[in-house]
Amino acid sequence: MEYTITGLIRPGTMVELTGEQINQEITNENGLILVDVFATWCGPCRVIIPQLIDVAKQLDNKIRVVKLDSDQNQEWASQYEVQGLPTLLLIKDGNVIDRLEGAYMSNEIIDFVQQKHR
Amino acid sequence: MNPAKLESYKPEAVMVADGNKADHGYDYDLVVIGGGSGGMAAAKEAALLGAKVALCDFVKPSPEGTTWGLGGTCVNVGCIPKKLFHIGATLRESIQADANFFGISSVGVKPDEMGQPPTLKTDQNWMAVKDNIQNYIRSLNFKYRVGLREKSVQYLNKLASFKDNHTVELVDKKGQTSEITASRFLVATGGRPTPLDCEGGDLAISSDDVFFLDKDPGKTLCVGASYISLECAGFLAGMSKDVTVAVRSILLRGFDRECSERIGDYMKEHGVKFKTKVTPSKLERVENDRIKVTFSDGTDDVYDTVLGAVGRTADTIKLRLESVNVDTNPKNRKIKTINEQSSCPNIYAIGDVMDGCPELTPVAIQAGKALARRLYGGSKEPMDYINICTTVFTPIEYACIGLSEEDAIAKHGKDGIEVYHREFLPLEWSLSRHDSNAFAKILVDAKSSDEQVVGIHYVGPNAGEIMQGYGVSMKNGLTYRQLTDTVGIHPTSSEELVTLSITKSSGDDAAAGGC
Repeated sequence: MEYTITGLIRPGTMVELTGEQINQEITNENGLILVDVFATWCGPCRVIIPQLIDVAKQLDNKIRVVKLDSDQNQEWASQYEVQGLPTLLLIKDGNVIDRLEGAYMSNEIIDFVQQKHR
Repeated sequence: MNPAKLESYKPEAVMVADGNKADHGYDYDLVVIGGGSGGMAAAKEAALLGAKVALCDFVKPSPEGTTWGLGGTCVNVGCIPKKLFHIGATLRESIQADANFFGISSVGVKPDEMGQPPTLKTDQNWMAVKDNIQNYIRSLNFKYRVGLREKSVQYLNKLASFKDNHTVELVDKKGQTSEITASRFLVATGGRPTPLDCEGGDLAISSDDVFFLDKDPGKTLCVGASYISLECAGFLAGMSKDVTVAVRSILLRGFDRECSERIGDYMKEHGVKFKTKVTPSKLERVENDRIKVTFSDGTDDVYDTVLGAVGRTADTIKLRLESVNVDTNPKNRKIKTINEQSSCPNIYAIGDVMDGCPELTPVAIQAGKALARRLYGGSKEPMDYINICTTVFTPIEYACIGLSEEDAIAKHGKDGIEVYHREFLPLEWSLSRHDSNAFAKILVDAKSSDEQVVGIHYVGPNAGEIMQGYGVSMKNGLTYRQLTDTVGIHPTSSEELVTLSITKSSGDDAAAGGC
């Protein structure tokens, strides 16, 4: 099973993707993706960045960590019913299995991911 | 006649049948064109009442190229940024004017030999203020997008124009076209600033641009004497810019003369320069990216920024209203309506685009909701456009409701009106600003049996907050007796309104006295 379909994500790091690119990644079955929906004007969104980078480092190739600019990808964010920022969407096998709103520390985010995926 | 005695009479809005039926077969029940204050309120209310609604919002960039998100003029280039800049400027000014009188100084600064701290001098960073306000506005754009989705309104970021009275053509920012149909349409496209028509007028920016400037505006000329020009001049001066206002005739046309003049006097005392009885005749670019302005009286000066605020024009030009027989007022291009219904029965209009509508956000919101309730909720209630409070957020604020003194005299005759007035020094300025006074005035119908109040005016700090409550009582037929029977809250500026006793006709001195 390939880690990334688009070839744009490296294990242990977080990248920014467009809605279209994320849709391509989602078609990969058995793969976990964590999408951070953010906006440039949102304070808590900036706070969460180093935490997510740490999550990516710690979970390495067990998960793909990506971020999406909600202003630049309004329809994607709307489709996934994002109401507040930042919203973390945990996607597995093409479905959103959980979501988290607000700024959290990396260990809390890791707990959130592992709770749903054992 | 006292409106309070007419409570059994409820006016009804008579609407022309517009052909709407349950199985109309169109894509939508209602398509709203314009996602501003009025459009969004109407769309959400209609959806709440069960209608299938789409809202088309598209911002045509200003001549400078400025554009913005969902929410309309108020949120992006009007009320919200204006008030935030006004708050920021007032904050800086009051720190500088008052802080030391309250013993406040920067840490480590020694007081003088009388034990008084020196004036707390301040800088104000344009980019920081602008960025923080812009970030807040973008969070509002996001909130409104989510809000429409939550209320099941289809949001289309596309420019709409009429093909026929049941079809609009849509163009998105990439130029791709599409069409949607609806049983009914609501035009709520508002207005845009009218450009300066003198030679070189395109060098001027407008209120569409001033809140986004990515460099300090510097020495600025504000052309116009509307509240937009004075409010912008006010906050720029409060942020220590060198500001000049070019006035063709009078300040704040349509508002009470005495109060408008007090605003002008206060602004002059606080460093704003006024050039009166002039218009700019020519703008030209000179070195260092500055603008040389030649005025109609032959004088000239050089500025970093010229802000044109000479009026607003209804944004109807790209709608293709001719193709659907919607009549507009040739003077201002606004849509003519009766009970918000245009000359084409299934096309409605509210807000700034509607002829005769006061250009205020809460009016558009209320009219939008009332219309939605008439169209989809079985209501017959018209929008009440009488006795709407408003506030001008100039450096000294001015709030009013009802008639100006000039309009009251025109309506009731000079002998038909009694004026109660008083000038006073607000407590918050009493330690420092002895030269600036606030002012309160009410106008009563002298011929009514109980001295019915027909106008209330207040020039002073926190005017908007003060006037709101009086708006409620005005709508319910406030009399002078009821007003002055109300016990004041002490010590406030608002209590001056319920203790007014000096009349203009008595000739007694209404000036602010000593203790």
